[in-house]
Amino acid sequence: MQEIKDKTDNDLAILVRQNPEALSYIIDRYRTKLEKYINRRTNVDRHDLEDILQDVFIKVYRNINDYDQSLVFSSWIYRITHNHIIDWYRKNKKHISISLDDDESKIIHILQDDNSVIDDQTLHDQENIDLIKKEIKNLPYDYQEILILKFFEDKSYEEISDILKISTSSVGVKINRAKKLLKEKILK
Amino acid sequence: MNNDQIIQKIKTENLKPISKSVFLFRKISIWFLLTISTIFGAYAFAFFFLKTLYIDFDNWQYFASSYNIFLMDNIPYIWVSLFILSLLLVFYLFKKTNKGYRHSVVFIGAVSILISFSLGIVLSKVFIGKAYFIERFENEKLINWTNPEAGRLSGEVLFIEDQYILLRDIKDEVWNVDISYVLDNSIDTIKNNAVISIIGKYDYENNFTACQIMPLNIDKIRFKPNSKHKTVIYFNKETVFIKDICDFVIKGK
Repeated sequence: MQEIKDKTDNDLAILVRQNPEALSYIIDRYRTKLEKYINRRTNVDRHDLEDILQDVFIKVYRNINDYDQSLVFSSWIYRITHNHIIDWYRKNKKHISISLDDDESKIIHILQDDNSVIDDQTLHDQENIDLIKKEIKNLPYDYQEILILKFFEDKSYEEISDILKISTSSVGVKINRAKKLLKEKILK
Repeated sequence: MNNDQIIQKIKTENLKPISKSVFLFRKISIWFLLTISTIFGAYAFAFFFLKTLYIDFDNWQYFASSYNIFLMDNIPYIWVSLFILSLLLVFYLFKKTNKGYRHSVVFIGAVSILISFSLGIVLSKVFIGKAYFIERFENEKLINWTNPEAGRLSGEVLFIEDQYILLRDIKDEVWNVDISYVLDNSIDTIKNNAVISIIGKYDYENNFTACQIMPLNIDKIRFKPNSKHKTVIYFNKETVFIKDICDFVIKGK
């Protein structure tokens, strides 16, 4: 078991190509992270969440030969998840809904560097956190997804660029626009 | 859901990883289409570039009532549209390549324009070597200059007399052109076998009175009357400019 722990994601990807059983190591490594990510992006019940997660891992297995080792594996698996979520919304014709309840402390980070909206002392008030949460849910979906990746999944600009398949400069522009729009909505 | 369920599903449904060759084929197809689009864009640009070289910008007043109208009538829209279309296609396909998305819109746009321009210039040099394209554009220029009712005539000088010349136009018709009224600076242009353009008045069948004669910068070797090239005549009307010159010259003498 120690041996598997020491293996890199790339090593595991090579193993999966040879033996489907090795997929369980990838599942172990990414299940919790992806569960949280899918929940944040879809806000579905446990049953649907499991279905989505299962489909994601099967897609990972099916597309393992498309994995380019010059990419970070984590970005690649997030990209598959991101694409599957979009397909899932399209297929199920469900209204877009996100969940930001699992880690409220992260919400503060979005506006922490902008004291003009809410000062540091009151930022932590539950009332303010609820307001920010509500307004994030009112943002356009592409702004929601980029804020989730940056502030809830703690992804870097390069990783977000690889997940969403947009340039790093576009990532920066989108994050700034999303924060600006969020600030406007809060100040209204 | 546990790991075993997923592995079990893979086994019972006999799922296999999609073959590497499928992904490789997709990548190769994108790069192939990208190359084709770039070459096509360069081809369109070369055509546009060459066509522009043969537009009579210096003599626009003989063709249209304003420079803007002249430009509107002369811009090769089809080639410009095809060039823009190929640029968009290159842009789209480049974004679809493995790491294409990492580059900004400005970078991809600038690179694709630069490649199409450079390759287009090289291609246009090749086209110049192949007389077919040049002949086509020169013929178009000649056709535009061959509209006697609108006061324009062009062709090869066959014979020169004191008061008239014989001229063969691009449609292989021979014209008797009265040169007794032409402006003094026109006289030097009239030489046997020279390809010239004439501003003047249509008198009657194959008879024309010249007011001004100018050289037409067209390679004599490629002046082939009755050639098979089909060209469009854009300018059918006599412009005020031509009328004024002729009234001034003819009445003045």
